[in-house]
Parts: sequence; C-alpha cells; structure tokens
Amino acid sequence: MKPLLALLCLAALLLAPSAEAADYPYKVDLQTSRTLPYTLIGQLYFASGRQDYLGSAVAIKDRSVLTAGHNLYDAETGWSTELELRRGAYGNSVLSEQYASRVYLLSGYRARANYFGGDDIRTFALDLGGLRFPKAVAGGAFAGWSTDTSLITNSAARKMIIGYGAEGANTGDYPLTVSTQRPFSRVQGAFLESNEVYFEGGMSGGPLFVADGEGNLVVTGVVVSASKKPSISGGVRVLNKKAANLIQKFLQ
Amino acid sequence: MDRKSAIRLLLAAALLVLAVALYFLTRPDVSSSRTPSDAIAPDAPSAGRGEGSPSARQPAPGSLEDLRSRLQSGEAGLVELNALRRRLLAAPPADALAEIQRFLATGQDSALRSDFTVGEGGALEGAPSLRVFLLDLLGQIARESGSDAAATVARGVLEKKTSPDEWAIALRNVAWHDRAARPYLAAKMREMLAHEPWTRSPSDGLLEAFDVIVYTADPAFIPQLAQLRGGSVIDLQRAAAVAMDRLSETAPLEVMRYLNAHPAEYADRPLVRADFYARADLGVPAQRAALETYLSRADVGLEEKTKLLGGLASPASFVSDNLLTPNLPPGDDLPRLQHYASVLAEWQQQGRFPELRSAMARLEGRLKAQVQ
Repeated sequence: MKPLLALLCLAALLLAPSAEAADYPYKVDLQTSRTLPYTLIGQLYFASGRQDYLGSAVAIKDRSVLTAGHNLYDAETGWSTELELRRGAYGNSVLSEQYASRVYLLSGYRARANYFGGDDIRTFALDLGGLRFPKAVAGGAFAGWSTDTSLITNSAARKMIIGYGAEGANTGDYPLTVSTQRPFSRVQGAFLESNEVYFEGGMSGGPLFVADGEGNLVVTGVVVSASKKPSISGGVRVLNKKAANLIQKFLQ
Repeated sequence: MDRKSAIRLLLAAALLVLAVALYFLTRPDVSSSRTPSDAIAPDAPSAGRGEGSPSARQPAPGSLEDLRSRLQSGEAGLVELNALRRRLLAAPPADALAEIQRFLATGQDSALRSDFTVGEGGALEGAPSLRVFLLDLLGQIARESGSDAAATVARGVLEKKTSPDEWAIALRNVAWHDRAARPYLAAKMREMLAHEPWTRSPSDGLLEAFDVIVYTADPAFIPQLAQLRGGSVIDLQRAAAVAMDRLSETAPLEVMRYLNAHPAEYADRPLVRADFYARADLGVPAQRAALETYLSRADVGLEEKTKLLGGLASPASFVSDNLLTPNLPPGDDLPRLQHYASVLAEWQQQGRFPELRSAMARLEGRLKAQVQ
C-alpha cells in the first residue's frame, strides 16, 4: 500500500499544473496607473504612411522617451510624423500630452536581415528609438535604466513589462502589464525573446523593468516584437552600450 | 498511513520535483548567437594570399606572421589580438606602421570570427580578417601621427578588388588622410557598387562603406541609391535607404536641388521623398527657397506635401557609429519650432500653397502650444 501511495503522491505532484504555459498582460486599475512607474509610460500615437498607429513609450530623461524603432520608421513610407505622447493615458483621461520635436532611431547601414530572411520588416523593427519633446515629459520624473542584460536573462528576476496593448478586448486606451519571472533568451545581438511571455500589439515601445541590485526598478529594454497568435514569443530590445550612447548624447 | 509518514513522503516528492526543476534551469544556454568579438581561428584553411611559399622559414615568435600562424591553428584568439592592438598603439608610430606594412605586403591573412563592426570615431570594434584588423590599426596610428602610410597602402588596396571589407577600411583611411580626396572616393565607391560579385552578397564592410557616399555629400549618387533601394538584395536596400536619408541630412541643399531638378527620382516613393526635404533649415535662405520650390511643384501630391510639413516639426535621424560621418549633434528644438511656426504664419499670410492651408493652420496652432 505504501509504495502505491508514494507513487500516487508523486504522480499527483508531478502532474499538478505549476503555472500557466505563458504569462499574459492584464489591465492595470486606475489607482495603480497613477503610481510609479506607470506614470512614466504613455501611449504613442503616430502617423506612418497613410495610417495612424498606436505604440507605447517610457520617459527615460526629463524631456525624452524611449520607444521601439518600428514606431518611428517604415521601410516603405519613411519616418513617422505627428508623434504624440499621451502619458498616463487611462481611458479618456491622460496625465499629459505632447508632440515630439525630434526623432532618433538607433540603426546603421547593416541589418540582420539574413536572420529573418527575405521581406521581413523586422530589419528595422528590432531597433531602438528615442523621441525628444520641447517640455518635460513627466514633470521632471523619468525612469532609471541599466545595460545589465543579466537582469533579463536571469529567470529568478521578476520582470515587469508595461504597454498599451490593443488586442481582443483591449482597446489600447489602458495600460497593460505583464509580470513574469520567465527568462528571455538572446536571439541575436541586442534582441531577446521569450516564448512564454505574451506581448499584445500596441505594447511595442513599452518598457521592460527589472529590479536592480538595490531594488530599484530600471528599464533594461523595450518591447519591439509583439506576439502573433498562435505563437506566444515576445521580443525585447535590450539596452546595451549603443543604446546608452543614444540616451546620453541625443536625448535630454 | 500516519501523518508523519505522509509528510515525509510529500517532502521526498517535493525534493524530486526540485531536482528536476534545477536541472532545467541550469542546463547550458542553447542560444545560437555568437559573441561578436569572438576571434577564434576558423575551421577553414587560411584564405590568405602568398601561401605555398617555397621557403619553410618559421615565423619569428611574437611577429605578425607568427600570430597569423597561431590564429590559423587556433592557438591564438581574441586575447592575442587585443594584446597586439595594445602593443601597436603603444609603440612608436613609425615602428608600428612599418611592422604592419611589412606584414600587409606579404599578402598573408587569417580569417577571424568577428563581424565587421564600426565603433566610435570610425575605428573598428570587430574585424573579419587579420588584414582588415591591421588596416584599421594602420589607419588609426597614421591619423594620430600625421603619417600618409595608411593612405598610401589604402590606395594600393583600392587598385585590386580582393576584399570588400579591405576596400571599406581603405576608403576610410584615404578619407582620414586627404580631405581633398572626395572625388577619388566617390569614383571608388561607384566602382565598388558596380562590382557584381560583391553586391550579389554584400559583406558587412561593403554595407558600412555606404557611409562614404554620405561623406562625399555628392547628390549624383541619388539615382544609384534609388536603384539599390528598389533592387532585390535586402541588405543593399537598407543600406541605400539609410545612406540616402543621411545624405539628405548631411547635404540638405544639394539633395533638395538635385531632387527638384530630377522630379522622377523617388517619385515612386513620395512619402520617403518628403523626408529628404524635412531636413531643410528654414533659417538658411537657399534651403528655404529649395523647399518652397518643392512645395510649389504641381507633380508633388498633397499627401507628400502634408507629410513634409509634419516632418519639419519633428526632424528625424538615424544614429549609428559610422566609418566617416558623425551623427549631427542635437540642436535646440525650441528656437527651431518657434521659427517654423512663424514661417507657417508667413506662408498663410502670403497665400502661398493654398492646398495646404488647413494643414498649415493646424500645425501652426500646435507648434505655438508646444513652445509656450
């Protein structure tokens, strides 16, 4: 009897679901959205070609934000215009609104097109972008940041991704957050992916926060690749030396 | 079963689960990416020239020939290359230049497992071959010491199409030494882009060499850039797109005048063409005039002109470490926006560009709110 019970207990423990297969974003409530770091994140509306789009951005300096490169440039239609940051957007309310006065895309002559092949727009989509504004974005507040990639690849570290997802029931008017301890793996260069964390369209440009050694939440990357069902994988562009150069020399 | 036994059983099971979890968490990373600065010698035999010399002379220990040999065999790698870099940069320039030149003259080479990666100031952070590595150092040392050695060697490299990556560094080294060499560099760049074996599968060095086009500030490259952008090689499409954009930023007046004189160029990509005019400095009369010519053109559609207006309010730039051209420093946005608002007001008062009246009015209002 004892061996059978042992087997049953073991089987029960082994078969019991320890967690869902992936972590999904959920809507933040209004009260939470008015606390840090949510007040540093905003909707980014922009015109690209003949259409308007929605992305996300995070205040990284007094008058600047970081966002995803593909929010700023498209290979077919060129640079985005009418870039409006609606910080702390929550339904019809917003903490502040401003149009960008300068656009920077961290990107050179080369691409990793050979990785994705052919016509994949991700040749520009994996890049990091920055926007400057004439006035302070968040009343002088902005997020700290780090180029320590180990904070992201460390599966024990709790990561928080925030952005204005616009899939399914989500309209892009409310901040969503994903809190996860699932690891991200390096795919190529500064691009990391996780096939266990789901990013909605619209979250591109949203920050990935990790607690640094002192427990402070710091931006270590931005979402650059939303998941496409049925695939779960979501991608981030981590902050490295070149990103640090962008932030320090071009953003203010 | 008594309670004590059950607890012990559960603990045992929990320990087993923990063991399995630890196994999966600590297994080696299977990422396929390679470290860009990894310079372990390749599996393939040396691609260097001058092989099969009848002489069986062993290279002197510590010499560049010796390093090449050890790189080939896998005995040397990144550590040794970094040590070599430090030694050459610390040595008397004349000695270092002579040593590098002697080795380059042998034609020998060794492939390195690094990408052609440009770092700050145009110096390489990674080189795909020992010769490229040394040509880069040659250029740096020559520039620092005021020597023409690197430019002389470079012009020799540019006589034969042996390596696009060597050509890229050679073009840079000539430019570093001779500011009057723009016409020569432009001609060599055209030659490089016309060489089909290289453009069929462009190397990283060839792609980085597009910066030479920007450096020359020669708008005559525009048709070639447009052609490459519409071609079949994805990497060349991107390089051409970035180069054209940066050319319009570096030489806005020349580019605007060229495009105004050649209305068919980029007419198939009107929204991209609008970007090239969005770099105009409205405070410079000639640039403003060229922009106004464009806005007056009947062949330019309303959508394109409207985009241009929006682009002037938020000028954009690619930021990267380039072989030759620096990124333009960020200016002060407020005076620029204030001036743009006043220009919009002026255009409206003068009744210019009537089809853009509502767009101008909306934009003027927005800019005024921005700068208050």
